[in-house]
This record gives sequence, structure tokens and C-alpha cells, in this order.
Amino acid sequence: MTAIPLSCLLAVGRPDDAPVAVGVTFARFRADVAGNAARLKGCRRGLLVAADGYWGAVGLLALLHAGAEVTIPPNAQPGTLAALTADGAVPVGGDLRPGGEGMALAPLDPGTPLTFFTSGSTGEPKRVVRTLGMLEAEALATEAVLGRLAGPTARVHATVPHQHVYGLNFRLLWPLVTGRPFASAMHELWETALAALDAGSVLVTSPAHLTRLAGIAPLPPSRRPALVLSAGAPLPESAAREAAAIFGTPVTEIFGSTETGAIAHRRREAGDPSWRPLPGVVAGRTPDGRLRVGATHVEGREHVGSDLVEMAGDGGFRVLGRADRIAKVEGKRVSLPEVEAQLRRSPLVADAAVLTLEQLCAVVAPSAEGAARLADLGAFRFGRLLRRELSAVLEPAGLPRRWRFVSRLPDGALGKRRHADIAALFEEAALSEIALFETAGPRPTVPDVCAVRPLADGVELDLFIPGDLAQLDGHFPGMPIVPGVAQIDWAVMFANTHLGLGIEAAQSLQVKFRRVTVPDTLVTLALRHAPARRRLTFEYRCGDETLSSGSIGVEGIAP
Amino acid sequence: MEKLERELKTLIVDALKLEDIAPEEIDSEEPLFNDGLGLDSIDALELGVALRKAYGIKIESVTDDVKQHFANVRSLARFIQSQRAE
Repeated sequence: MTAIPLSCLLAVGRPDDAPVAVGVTFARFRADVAGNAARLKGCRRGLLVAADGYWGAVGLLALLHAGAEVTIPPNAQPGTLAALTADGAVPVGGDLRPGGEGMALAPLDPGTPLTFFTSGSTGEPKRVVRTLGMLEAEALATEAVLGRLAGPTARVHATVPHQHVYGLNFRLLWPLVTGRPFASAMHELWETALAALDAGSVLVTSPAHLTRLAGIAPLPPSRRPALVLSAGAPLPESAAREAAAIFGTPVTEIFGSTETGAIAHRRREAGDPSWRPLPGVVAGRTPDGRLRVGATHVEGREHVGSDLVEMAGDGGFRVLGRADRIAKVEGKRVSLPEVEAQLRRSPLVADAAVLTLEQLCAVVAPSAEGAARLADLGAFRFGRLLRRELSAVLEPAGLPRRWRFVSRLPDGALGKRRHADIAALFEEAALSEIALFETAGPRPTVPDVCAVRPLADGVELDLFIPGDLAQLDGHFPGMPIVPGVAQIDWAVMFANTHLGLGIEAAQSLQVKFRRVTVPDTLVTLALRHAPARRRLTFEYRCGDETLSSGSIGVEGIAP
Repeated sequence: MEKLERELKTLIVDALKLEDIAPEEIDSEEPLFNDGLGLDSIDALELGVALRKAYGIKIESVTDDVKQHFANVRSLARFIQSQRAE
């Protein structure tokens, strides 16, 4: 079927019986768009929130034909929609209905703006405006590459939503423009997605799905798709191989961004090939190593993003990483500052830091209210409660999966050391809850001394830190850690008793906490006195691992 | 059935690497997703992998109500048992 640009798809039209969505003819599609466009007449700005693919396509074109500006919200979470509708945009989705008295569908202005959102590095979602003409050009560039791989009547199935540029183009617009029928429903589970596939079809999917194919048998020829698409993040080699074996065809990966749309592709037949620009796209590298994209479907015809690249000899490129605090989680761009900012907005949270260690991880210092909930719910359910709060405004990929709760975040400016301190919290398995509010007797404030060994310049003590230590009280039941201040107090106390020093208060203190110190463990404390430097150095170790170390001034005291 | 439910709870905690929660803390009728245990679509995919490995669920026999089977531990247990019976 010939490609028809989106702006004149309905004005030019296709035969009445041509398929649009699976089971929906072009005649019905036209009637649905015309009827809803008539009902939307007068709407100035519409938010496309339809969850279903077919009604997403109807809503998009009805809004455009009604003369409204279209915003594709970054997600359909209530908090996001509330923020976007606050300035008068009308959500369009659930209220779309079939047919009705329609309006005439004239060609659309290719300059009509559509607004998308993506993760910005500042902590606020970033607004990206693209025109209908750019989306048309992207769909046609897509056909120039994929048209050779997918038959003209191939059905398009998807495991990704149409609310981002990848899903919108490959699930809806490319099929609409080229006359391929698309499945309306999105499949979250492989069990349903694979049952829907037919021979020669197209599957629009993602690394999140393709890395979770384990246990699925190779598809019979009657179910084998002609084209399997993936975008968002590079597919690991093992997943690419497994997918090729199951689907009987190598995965075709798409490279792009919200700002640029799709700009490059590669077939994962073997190894890690470079990305090939789509027809009409020119890829280059800025002096500071970023990807520069020139294309007619990119705003201003050129875009420089935050992807660090190296050019391949053949006009293609390889991606090396990101130049900002944007992480890729399950192939989605997640702004770490944004997740942190949203966490801090919760009344349950005093402070938060987020990082990626394969998964999105959050370290949270709860507020007083949060600490009470943490004690009540336990760490797992408290983490899930925070996830639910975040899910009002963030996509699933932006919801941390691993949590640590601490009284205070590791100090220091944002940088490598702080990153390492925070990452260290996730190296150990989560700590089991310990019943802390036992009432029997006074609780110890110092560790038990198990052994004392002299050193050339000091003393070494083996200490057992009891689980019912009083100092753990100010901290959290889900995360019993020995406070740094207690460690310093003990170093001073043992130095005074074993080395005969008379330190009254820890002054001119330098200290570095490398790992959290948990109760119910045996630790070794080494104390060394350097009279010439007038300093006491201390180091807490667990086995060979340094937990914390530092030094304290020994000044102006009687020997 | 009760044994299968216990088995599934352990599988959920192990396969999804849930931290800070023990299998017996999961209620059999508590919704697994959203407001209940708070699992998400990625967890659903992971759970699919784990169920395929542990119980060998076959795609061919799966129908549209697969989502209802994933509602809670009890419905999952019923689903697995019905698969075994076939």
C-alpha cells in the first residue's frame, strides 16, 4: 500500500475496506475521527491519554482535525495529568466514542505543534515540541528502512505504550502512514504477546521484555514475526541471541530520543555493530564527544544531545554513555535529580539520593513521620509505599526498586566519593528487622571488649557490638546501624583507658565512613597515638574491610 | 494448594529479589500489583520467567485472562494447578 503522509491521510483516504487497527476498517476509522473531531471542536489544547492503541490514534487525529494543540503526557499518572490540566488542557481518552455526526476532514497543517516530555537533567521534566510534519518525515524514514523487512500488510503488535516517541511512531504512525494494521491492545506479558503473533508480523518491544524471555520455546513458523524492534537501550548480547533463536529473526534496534525521534538502526545478527543513520539523517560528533544529529524530522534540523559517541568509519556511530545524571533504566531515560526531587516532596522523606546499580536504588532519610511509618510497616512495605507515592508522578522505570533507610545521607558534594558511600549501602544484603523496643533492663552503651592486643604505637581491640545497643535508638528499626558519633566516642573512651590519653572531646576530627557498621557483629578497633603529630588515629575493621577510619587531635592535655 | 501457595510466596520473594520481606508476610489474597504488594510490570515479566522455569507454563494454553491469574497468590496457585491437570 502506498504511504500517505499523516497530514492528508484522512483527506486523501484509503479504500473503505482497508484495515487500520486489527478488525477495524478505514471507513470506520474515518467516521470515528470525524465524529470525535466534531465533538472536540473548540478544544484548544488536548492531552492524549487513551491507553488503547486504536483510540490513541483516533484521539490524536480527532484533536488535530478539531484544530487543537496536542500534548502527549509523559505518563498517565494522576499527579502528572493534574499538573498538565491545571493550565487548561483537556484530557482525551476515555470519553472517545464511535462514530456520530462527523465533520469534514481537510488536510492538516504540517506545522501543527505536538508537545512531548522527557527526563531533563535539572530535575523537572523537559518539554519537547515537534511538529506534525516532523512526525510524518520520521514515519517515512522508518518505512525507507523497515519497509524492506516487513511485508506491506504485516500486522504490528506491541509490548510498549504509544505515549512516547518510540511507541507513537512504530506502533501507530508508521503503520497508519503505510497502511499496515496495528493491534490495539498492548501486551505486558509475553504469555499474551506471543499468543497474538502471526507469521510475518511486526513486534514493537523493548529491552525490558527481550531480556526476560527465559523459558520460552522457539516459536513455530506460524507465529514467527518478520521484524522484532527494540529501542530505549542497547540490547545485551545474550538477550539478542536468545531473542533471535525464539523469534527466528534477529532483533532490529532503533536509536533515538524524544527530541529527535528515531534516527538510527542496526540489526543484531552478530556482535555489537555500529548504528546506521536512517535515510535523511546525518550523525556527527561534537568536539566534546556528544552526538550531533542533523535531520529534517528534528527541530531546528539539528540536535546535540547528551549521548557520548564515537564515529565508526562507515558513517555510523557507537554510543559510549551519557554526559549527565540521566540513567537508562529498563531502556527508559530516568532523571536521577527528578526522582530525588519527587522523593523529597513526600512528607515521609527528609532527604534522598538515587543511583543506578543495575537497578534504580534509593537511599532515604525518613522524616519523623516517615520514621514512624517505617517502624510500623517494615522496610519492604515502606519502600513500596514510597513507590506508590512516586507512581503518581513518575513512570514505572523511575520508581526505585531497592531501598535503604538511613538517619542521614552520606556527606559531601555530589561526586564520586558520595556516590561510592551510597553505593556501599547496597553491597550488603538488606538488613533484617530487629526488635528494638525490648524493655528488659538498662541497655548497653558500649561494646563488649573481647580481646586487647598491644601495637607498637597503640592498641588493638576486638569489640562485639550488641544488637540492643542504646545508641541505635535514634535510628531506624528497619536499618539498625551504629551511628558514626558512637564510633568516635568509643575510640576516645578506649584511647583514654588503654593508652592513658585524657581526651575530653573529639576535636579537630577527621573521619571517613566507608561502610555501615551494623550491630551484632565483631569488629576490630585499632588505636594509634602519634605524640609528635599530636594525633590519635583510629580504624574500625570487620575482617579485612575498613568500616571507618579517622584521626582526632590530642592537644593541650596533660600526658 | 496451601503448599503451592507457600511455594509461590517463596518464589516471588526469591525471583523478584524482594528485600526486607519474608514469604510468610505475603497474604494469599493480597493483590500482587499496585495497591497490594506493590509489584509492577517489570516484576510481572520477572514473575513470568520464574513461573515458566519452575512450573513450565506453556504459551499455547494461555488465554486472555492471564492477567486475572496474576491477581494474587491464590489465583496463581489455582492457575498452576489447572495447568498441571491438563
